[in-house]
Amino acid sequence: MTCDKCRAQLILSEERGPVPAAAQEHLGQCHACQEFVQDGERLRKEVRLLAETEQAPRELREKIQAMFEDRAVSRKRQWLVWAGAAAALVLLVLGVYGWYYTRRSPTPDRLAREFITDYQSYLPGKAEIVSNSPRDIEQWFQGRVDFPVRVPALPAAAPVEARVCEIGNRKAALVHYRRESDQALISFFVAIEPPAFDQARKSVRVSTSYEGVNAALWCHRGLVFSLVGAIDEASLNQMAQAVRQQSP
Amino acid sequence: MIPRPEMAVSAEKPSTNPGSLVREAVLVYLDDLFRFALRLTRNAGDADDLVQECVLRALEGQNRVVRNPRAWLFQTLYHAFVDHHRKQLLRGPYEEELSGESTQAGAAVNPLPAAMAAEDVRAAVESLPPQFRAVVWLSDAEGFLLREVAEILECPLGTVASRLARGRQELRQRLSAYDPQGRDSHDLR
Repeated sequence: MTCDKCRAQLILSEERGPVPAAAQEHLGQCHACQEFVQDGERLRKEVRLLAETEQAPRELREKIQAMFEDRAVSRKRQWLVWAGAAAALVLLVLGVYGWYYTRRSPTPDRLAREFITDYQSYLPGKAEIVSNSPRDIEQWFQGRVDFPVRVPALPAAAPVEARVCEIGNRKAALVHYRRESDQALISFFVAIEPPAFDQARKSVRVSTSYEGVNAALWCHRGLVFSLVGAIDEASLNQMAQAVRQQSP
Repeated sequence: MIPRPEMAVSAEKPSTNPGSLVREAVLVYLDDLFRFALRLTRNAGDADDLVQECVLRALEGQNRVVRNPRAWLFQTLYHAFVDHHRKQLLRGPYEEELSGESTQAGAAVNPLPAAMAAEDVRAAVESLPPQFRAVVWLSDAEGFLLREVAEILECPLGTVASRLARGRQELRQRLSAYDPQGRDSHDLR
């Protein structure tokens, strides 16, 4: 065994147990290693004493304190920035959701208003089928909309034309009637009932009026129906009642 | 057995704020860290910079689980030192010191003087090659166990023991050459 190995073994054995026999044998015969052991404790003591005399300068301690304080301030600022960004994101998400919900889930009143708007923008010649035969109109709608369309008989009014229109991003069937007494235009809309109406789980029946145009709206078996016309409310409701009575 | 400093800070106890734990540990061990930095750099200004770099790194790594904050801080400081002095460590004078000034383990050494001044001990320690200097300081001055020194320096336990034996031998040789009358018979630097 060499002196280096013996001394390394002696150092290891200070923490890890007995000195190996080979190292002990070398130590017994090697004067240099015996001196190394004898001087070891004194050397360690001198080095420890040196360490005890040295301290970090006050300026360094102050710099370190300042670093911690700066760090704490910047972390607080960073936290505030993140919190602000998170709050803005939450508001944005809520806003987008609210907008989407509003667009996708119209209320009965809003839907009735959209039917009135469509009625007000009526232009002659936009019709896709001109006929006064309910059967012809019903057949024409087959395959053009995803629901069956039944053209009801209105008291003192007859169908004249029909087309497919878009109401609130939904396809709707629209049948125009003319009242026999004054040739007033009456629109009859059929569309799929918005999910929000169904989720509300209460019967939907709305009468609304806007700029002299009245509308009656109701739901039945997953469809929403609306009668719209620039006629008096009582007459319109009477027609709506007649249509509802014809529903299967 | 070398008496070990008390561990005033323990990361094993639950803490809700890792930042405050690092802060507490750094302030408690600042003197120790500065001394180690001073031994490594041999220059007070560089030691100052090295400790600050160590603190910055400790703050960046404060969310990791640390069992021994004192050893972890020393390891962080040593990493910072190695990173800044990698080129000098890998080539140049340190290798020459190792091969040129290293004594034979079995060679005769003069007896240690009866009294030694702190300045001479400092000069002798700082004249050691850096690998030996770090091990001798961590073990003999700071009282770390060999396995802790191995973790701090990230080298095998056997290597630590071997370096410590060689380092003590070199230190002994330098100090035994000291003339108590006031003249150095051996150029410590």
